[in-house]
Amino acid sequence: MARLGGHNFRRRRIVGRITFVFLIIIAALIFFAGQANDRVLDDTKTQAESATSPVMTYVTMPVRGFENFVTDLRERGRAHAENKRLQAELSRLSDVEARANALAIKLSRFETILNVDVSSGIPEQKIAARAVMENNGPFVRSSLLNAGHSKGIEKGYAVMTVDGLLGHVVRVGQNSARVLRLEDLNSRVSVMSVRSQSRAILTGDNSRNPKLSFLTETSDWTAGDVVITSGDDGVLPPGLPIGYVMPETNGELMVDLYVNDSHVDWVWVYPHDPIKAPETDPIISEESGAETEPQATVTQNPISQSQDAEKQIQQASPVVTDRDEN
Amino acid sequence: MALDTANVLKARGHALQGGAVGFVLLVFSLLSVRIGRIDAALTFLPLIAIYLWPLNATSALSSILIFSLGLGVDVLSGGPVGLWAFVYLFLYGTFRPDLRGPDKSLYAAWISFLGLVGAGVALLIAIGFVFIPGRTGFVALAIQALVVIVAFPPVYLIHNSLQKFFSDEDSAEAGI
Repeated sequence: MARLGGHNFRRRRIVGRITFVFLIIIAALIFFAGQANDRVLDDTKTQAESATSPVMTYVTMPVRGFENFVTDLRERGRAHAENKRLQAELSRLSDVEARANALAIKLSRFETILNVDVSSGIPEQKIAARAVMENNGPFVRSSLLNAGHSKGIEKGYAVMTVDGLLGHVVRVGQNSARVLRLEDLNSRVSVMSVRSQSRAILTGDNSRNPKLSFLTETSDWTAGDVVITSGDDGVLPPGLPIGYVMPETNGELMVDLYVNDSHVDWVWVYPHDPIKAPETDPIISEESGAETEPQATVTQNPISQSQDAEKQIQQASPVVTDRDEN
Repeated sequence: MALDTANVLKARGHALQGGAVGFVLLVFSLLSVRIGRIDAALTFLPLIAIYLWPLNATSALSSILIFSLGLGVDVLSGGPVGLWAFVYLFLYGTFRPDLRGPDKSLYAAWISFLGLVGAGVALLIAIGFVFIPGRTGFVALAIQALVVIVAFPPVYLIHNSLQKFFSDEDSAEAGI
């Protein structure tokens, strides 16, 4: 470069330095603006994600293909033993299925008699999508889906893999959606133990194993407990499998996520309308259009009433506190 | 005058070449490969492009391309906007090829690249500690640094081979 010499070279060098300093200041300013308001460049992010998700679908194909190939090889190695185990499991489950069918009929009769809805709450409709990009960076844990608003995905919807809950949608574009994973520091999900029905908040900390927080003195959690969404937040549907409780370390209970055991490739997005608080969801009279006080029309048993009261209390202070991306 | 114009164009071409390498590595950096139970994210991959930035590239265009590269990583990865743009520019300014001199061998380049990665990690930890407290995943940071250090030799060799293959010997002889 020195051989260029002369006035022009010196001028270009000065311009180069000024540009460098100017851009480094701009970068710092954008960073600080983002810290003050995390909505900065939100539209740009959405558009960029929509544009790149189709490209990333193809770019990730060889990687996913290789991962699946390795998994296939591993699974073929233990296919014989697995086959024997599955045959034994099948014969056991045939009996379980017969009992489950009998119980379903019994439950249906009780529902009719008591006039209550005891459905699991897990939506039956689901939208298939592919996780084309994962970001397990030092500051964020998220995934990008190659489906968005055009497929019916909305902000807040739960995202599942075949193994369990991955996270929830925090940003939706026309053809892409950003999923905040359970491990992310901003993730807060209301959960419960299948065994004891104890409640807690699953708090992400950017590690592989989010921890259980806001445990009450009476709550009963032990290692091995299966953790599912409780639905108390009114945001995610109840009953979605998450993982199991690990042995206590440093006085904290961590959860080993089911999604940790496999590659995230195909996912299902569960459409779910968040439950609105009555204050924000008044009854509109069809005739006059005026708001009226809600009236109880069905007599409920004491148990379901207490559950409703508990739900209302928890709705008053939503537990998914920060659903924005970092 | 004609020689000067040719030099300027060539220097811009070098900057664009650096940008192209950066763009390819940026696309690969968006992948996350799972090795056993470890998620080996490739977020640090564009650091290789910063290190291999052509010696004769124009400074202004290089800065603009590196800034765009960083902003691209920020936007596409869903992380804090401006963070990688700042980190890439800082590392480019500190480890500019004209400050470091040409690499004598792969081993020497690797050692030098270790310094760049170390500086990048230190800067990220410092930024995380001061401005985003409690949000830095140190394990993820260490894994990503390790992955990019392992990935450096093959990328360096491929880059050098392509550079030799596409080198313009005529203009080199003409002193451009």
